[in-house]
Amino acid sequence: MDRPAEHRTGTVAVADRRDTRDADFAAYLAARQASLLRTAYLLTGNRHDAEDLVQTSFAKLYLSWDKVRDQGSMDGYVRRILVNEHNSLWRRAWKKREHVAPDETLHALDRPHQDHPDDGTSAALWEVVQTLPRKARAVVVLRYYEELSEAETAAVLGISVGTVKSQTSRALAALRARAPQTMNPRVREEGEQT
Amino acid sequence: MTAEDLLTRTLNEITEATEYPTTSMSTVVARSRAIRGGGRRRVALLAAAAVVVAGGLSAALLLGHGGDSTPGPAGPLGDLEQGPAPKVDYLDGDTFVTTSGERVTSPAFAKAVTAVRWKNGVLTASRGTISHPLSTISFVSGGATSRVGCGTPSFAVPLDGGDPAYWLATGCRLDRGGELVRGEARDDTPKGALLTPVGLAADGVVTSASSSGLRLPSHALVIPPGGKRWIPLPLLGLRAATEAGNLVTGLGRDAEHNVVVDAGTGQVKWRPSSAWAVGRFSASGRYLTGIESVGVQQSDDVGDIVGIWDAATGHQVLQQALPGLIVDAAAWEGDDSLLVVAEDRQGQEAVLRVGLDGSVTRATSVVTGVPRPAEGRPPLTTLRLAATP
Repeated sequence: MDRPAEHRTGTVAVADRRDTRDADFAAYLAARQASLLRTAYLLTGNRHDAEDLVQTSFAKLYLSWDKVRDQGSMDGYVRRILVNEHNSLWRRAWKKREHVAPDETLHALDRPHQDHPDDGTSAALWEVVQTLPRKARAVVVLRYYEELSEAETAAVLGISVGTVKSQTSRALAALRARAPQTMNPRVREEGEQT
Repeated sequence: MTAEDLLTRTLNEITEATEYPTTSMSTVVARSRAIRGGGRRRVALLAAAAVVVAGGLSAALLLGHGGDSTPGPAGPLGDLEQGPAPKVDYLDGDTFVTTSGERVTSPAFAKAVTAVRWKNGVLTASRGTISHPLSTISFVSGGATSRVGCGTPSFAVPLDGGDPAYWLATGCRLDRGGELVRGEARDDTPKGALLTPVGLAADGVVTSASSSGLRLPSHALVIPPGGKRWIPLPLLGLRAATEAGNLVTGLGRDAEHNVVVDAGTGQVKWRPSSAWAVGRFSASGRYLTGIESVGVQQSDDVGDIVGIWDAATGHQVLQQALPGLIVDAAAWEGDDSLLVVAEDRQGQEAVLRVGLDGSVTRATSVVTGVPRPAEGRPPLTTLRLAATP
């Protein structure tokens, strides 16, 4: 039995605002989650952790949704949450140990899909990227996948532009040292000539 | 191509070659509740559909009352009026408390996320862990606790008080098959399938089925006796079922919205707002309850909201705000009132009774919850409602 419209109270108006708020958030979630999942995957290296990271990040964004008024900065805001949450997960080393399968049969059952093509160059470089220190990896992902500027990267990570530059330089040096065949143009060219 | 260009190309190739799951709005809202509640995260929600078919319960229903979010009494749990004891069994720490007030103590109860009276004892299911995701199913009877096996922490309880249905993993391993157990009947389930029974329908046990590696979305099914034929339901996630009303509810196939579905025809009856975490059906299947978190609480006047709807039509009967309180599991007492486990900001807990008339009283004493560690998984609440139909 529906109540007459004139008897509806402010409570229903609150409900309407909440519905609008949730609709706006749901639209943002639908539009941005795929992109953020990719970034999270590059940060974590596996889909399960990436999904967990993104869910937590969007949950924290949901809690702050009313406060984040500037829609233009929403992406930067949720990226900051993503990176900070990833950093906090990283610090909880015990949690990573709990992800280790107790026996190889369970591990076999949970064997991940072949997430990336094993075609040599990309796979080799990706393997090396995953060995980078946490901060360097975050800088690499934001600079070369998200293609953020040094200033934008610094804002997301909460560090100085100078630190971004030095982290980038060290990361590239490490990649060149560990994957010379893929990262060094001269080595690649020489290889192609032989 | 420069090294930087190669790196960009590599990162793009890696991400494009990977498939990603979709995160639903309800998942985000549920996790935001956990974050707001101090980081409490549960591996699985309790299947605490409480219906006590108690003789003499009157059906003084107050339809048409709903639509308003009636503010509940403010203040700590202790300030709430104490009412009758729960008409549903419940767990208090390591003690199982029956509706008649009988108290049975066992270490198994301290670790149980759910329990149900069965024959001359109590079946319990513990909480799994990340490294050991299967629950331990135990039977407590005559002062002794025996291990039944490993499975999922959920019991589907019939209205007639008969044998509950639950799932066991063969050899306590995820890479083998399992059994759907109901009394003496044991129906084999295939390798890799992890079943979580939540209720019963006219045709059989209503259960969610997921891959044991949790890589695929779960599906809702009805498994008739014999287990040879599985009847799919149009839901991705399953929350509750009512044997009386032959309805089920959970996450719809769009992975975004909750739905209430006729278990026999698969017809979608209505869609609860995704702002609500839908809960349990009442005894007769007439009502459905849900809990809404309002997000960041700016003051002690803000708390979770309990909602009650007509299960068949979706008409909202009641919205009851509980200022300053976080609400966990819910269980029905017949069709008249709802029991919820509530926790205040001081970490104290009590079972509250929410009436269809909007009344809010305490059904138990206030107990002190187990302190949450600075890191790691939070403990179970001290109070937990037992599983019922």
